[in-house]
Amino acid sequence: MKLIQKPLRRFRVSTLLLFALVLLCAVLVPQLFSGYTLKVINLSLLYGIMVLSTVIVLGMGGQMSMANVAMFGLGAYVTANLCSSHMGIKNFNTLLALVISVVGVGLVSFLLGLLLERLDGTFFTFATIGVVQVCAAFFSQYRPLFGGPDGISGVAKLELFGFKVEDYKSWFYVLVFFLLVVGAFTARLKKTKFGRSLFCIRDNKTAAVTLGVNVFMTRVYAFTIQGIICGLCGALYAFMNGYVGSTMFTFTKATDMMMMTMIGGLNSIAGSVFGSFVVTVLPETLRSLQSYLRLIFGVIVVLLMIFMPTGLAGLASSTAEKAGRRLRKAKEKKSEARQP
Amino acid sequence: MKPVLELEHINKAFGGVIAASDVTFSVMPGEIHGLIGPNGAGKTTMMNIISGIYKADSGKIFLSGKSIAEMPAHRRSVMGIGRTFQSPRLLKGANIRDNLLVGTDVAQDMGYAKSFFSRRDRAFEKELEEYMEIAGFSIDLEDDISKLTFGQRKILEIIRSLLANPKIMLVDEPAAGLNENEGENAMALLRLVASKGIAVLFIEHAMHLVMNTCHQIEVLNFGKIIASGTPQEVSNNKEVIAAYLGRADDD
Amino acid sequence: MNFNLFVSLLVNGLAMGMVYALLAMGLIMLFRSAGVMNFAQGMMLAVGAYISYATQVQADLPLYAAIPLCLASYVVFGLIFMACIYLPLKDTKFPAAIVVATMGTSSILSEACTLIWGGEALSVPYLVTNGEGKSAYLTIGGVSIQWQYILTTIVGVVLIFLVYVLFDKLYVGKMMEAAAQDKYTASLIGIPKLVTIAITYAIAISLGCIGGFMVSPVTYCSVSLSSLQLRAFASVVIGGTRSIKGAVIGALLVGLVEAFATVNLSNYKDAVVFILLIVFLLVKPDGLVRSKIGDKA
Repeated sequence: MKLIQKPLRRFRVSTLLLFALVLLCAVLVPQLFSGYTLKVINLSLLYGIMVLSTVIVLGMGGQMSMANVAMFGLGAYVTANLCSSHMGIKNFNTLLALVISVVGVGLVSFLLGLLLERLDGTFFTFATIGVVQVCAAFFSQYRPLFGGPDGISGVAKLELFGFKVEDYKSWFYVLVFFLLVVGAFTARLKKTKFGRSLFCIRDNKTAAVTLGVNVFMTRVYAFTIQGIICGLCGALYAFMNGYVGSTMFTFTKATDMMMMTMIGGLNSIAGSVFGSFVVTVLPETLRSLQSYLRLIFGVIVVLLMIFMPTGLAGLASSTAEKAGRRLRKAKEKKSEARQP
Repeated sequence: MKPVLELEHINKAFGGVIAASDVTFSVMPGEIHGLIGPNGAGKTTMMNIISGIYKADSGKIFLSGKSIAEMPAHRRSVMGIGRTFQSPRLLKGANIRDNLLVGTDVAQDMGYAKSFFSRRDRAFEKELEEYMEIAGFSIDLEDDISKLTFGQRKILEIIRSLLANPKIMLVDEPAAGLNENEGENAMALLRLVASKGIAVLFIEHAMHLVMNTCHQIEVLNFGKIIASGTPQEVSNNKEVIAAYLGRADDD
Repeated sequence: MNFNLFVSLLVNGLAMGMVYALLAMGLIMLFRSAGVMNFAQGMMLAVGAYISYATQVQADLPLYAAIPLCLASYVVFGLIFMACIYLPLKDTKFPAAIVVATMGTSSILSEACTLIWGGEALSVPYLVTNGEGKSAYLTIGGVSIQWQYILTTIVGVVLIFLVYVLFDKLYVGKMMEAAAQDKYTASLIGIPKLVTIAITYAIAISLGCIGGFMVSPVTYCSVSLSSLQLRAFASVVIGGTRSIKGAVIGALLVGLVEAFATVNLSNYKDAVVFILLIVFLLVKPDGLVRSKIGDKA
């Protein structure tokens, strides 16, 4: 027998632990925090959802796309236009607006993907930077659609099946819900043919082709999924903030997002959520250190890239593995000792 | 019996360098077909043309009678052309199960959406066990791929492409970098493949392996087939001996 | 558009194009030697400008003392940058890690500059001034041009020429590049790889700093100078990522397009530049100037 069969580790302890932790947070956080802190936590949850889209495109597919902020912005502006007085539309169904934003941005990113995915590596990254810059210019200047420098204010509250999402606490639950949905989606994607195809492309394009992977279309789909997730975040952001301004969708935000992803760890879903939490919440909670914080933060990013390029999640999992190995060794020793 | 793969008058040049010149041969099902020749003779190029990574300048390629010369590479692999590389190209940072599932993905040829909702990945353990028996080492499916040695990864790549349920497998130097024992196991694996009716086209430099394993051999030099036939016929061919003795460097 | 406007836009565009070209050349040199795009390159402009401010305004040194001091600091800064980013990361398994590390570096530099010099934009003296400390103008046939733009263009041309001669004409430069690309070749030639890389970094970073030195009197000295790096990225892509010649042409094109876009589309000049970039990527993905060395990736 050459195949070592172990009992299927479908429900690993770590998964259960994670689940319990999430549940605990979901119950505790809104009790412990309120007001501004909760608002910042909500924002970090939103970024967490967006970072997941980078996990798909960069972590699985190996492509560095900066276009996520542009799609985030598009989603936000579509929702803001539909649900505010900016275009003179009144009483538009907010849930429908959310769906329209997501579908619309998905469509845009699909078309954009068809255009840009012909490019490789650095060229692709630059093209997406181009997209960010073009969008940012229009967001901040074109008044009829994006309100120009004033942005669009007075976005209606999101109404989910008769329930109005208004205060930070209810937003917290909505965002946790979406985070779990997108997180589960990403985790599932990793374990299906699509995820494996992306891994193939990331590791070796030639080999991927000989394994039946349509490199171009697979990348286009990944890019579209990124667009859809970011469009969703954009729509949620517009509802949550009530105001959409162009400063949220700049290249600087895109690099911030990239750093969040890398801090948490490219290949880990929980890690990247944690990364966005660190990047968003830390600067706000440590206000006394405000002026040094971004400096410290930069240093941490560089050090992390040097010593732990897989991010904090990588650090956690490698420590866990080491501990596990030590445990196993101890067990083996015990059983050896028992045998005469 | 009809040939599984037919090449007719394949030509390919890179700039001024001729990599394939009027190459014509065919491979029967269940046949182990060797592709040998000195370094730079165009062997790997030929594999790349068959699997669709390069497009031939002219010529026809048929898989089970269907013309595939215009087909993109990823469709060809779904049609039944498997491929391994000189240095194994497996997924880094993934476990063995995921690596092997990549092969079964090809066999299933399922859409992404369907695969997302399908309940269970195809059970491949039984098939795998048969192969592992010959492969000569044990694996744990949950182990990271990096735990395997170079030779084991090479053999695993052959197994992965077997799980893709191919009609013909293109195997590029399966024994290079493997020790004597592993090399023999790799050959045994190829023989098992052939016994199932799958054709094998393989490149190899170790002559004893080629002579012991192949049913049929094509000898390439400067992109041209200079001899073909059974191992016996080829090894007695004067042109072949000249081509091999005449080369400057010997690996 | 009258002739005066045309000439002043042309000169403005050329001068800014030169600044982008200096950044872009540095980017390409680093890309060719380390294979990575440096997202901190734009901060070099700011660092160059701040060092210029420190020597010329804070230390109040005369120009003949400030310039060599600045140049020396730029080289030292380039070497420090290499020691902190390139050396520890050169063998990393994740290419994205290097890119993100340069992003982190960019934010470190930006914050450090803000902590030292404050967040306000600082004014740096023009190289050629009239009596009141404002920029002197050169007036030919009714057209007046800022001396700073003329000098920037001249400095740009000279540096571009020097880099071109060093890397594309001189044997030493070719060997350096070969060494940077291939360890085996390097060992054959006998050039220590580290030395060549150190020189490359020193030059590449200094070029960006010099760009900052030249441009800061016009734009003021602040960390937001780093946003100009996106224009340099665009130039690099338009020119073809591996060719210095192409990047220079691309940079001039970007500078001119941007300058002339200010006439009718001043709000959208960014959009114009980057739409140009995307069109170029789609129509001519290899860039204007194809490099002789193929991209392995």
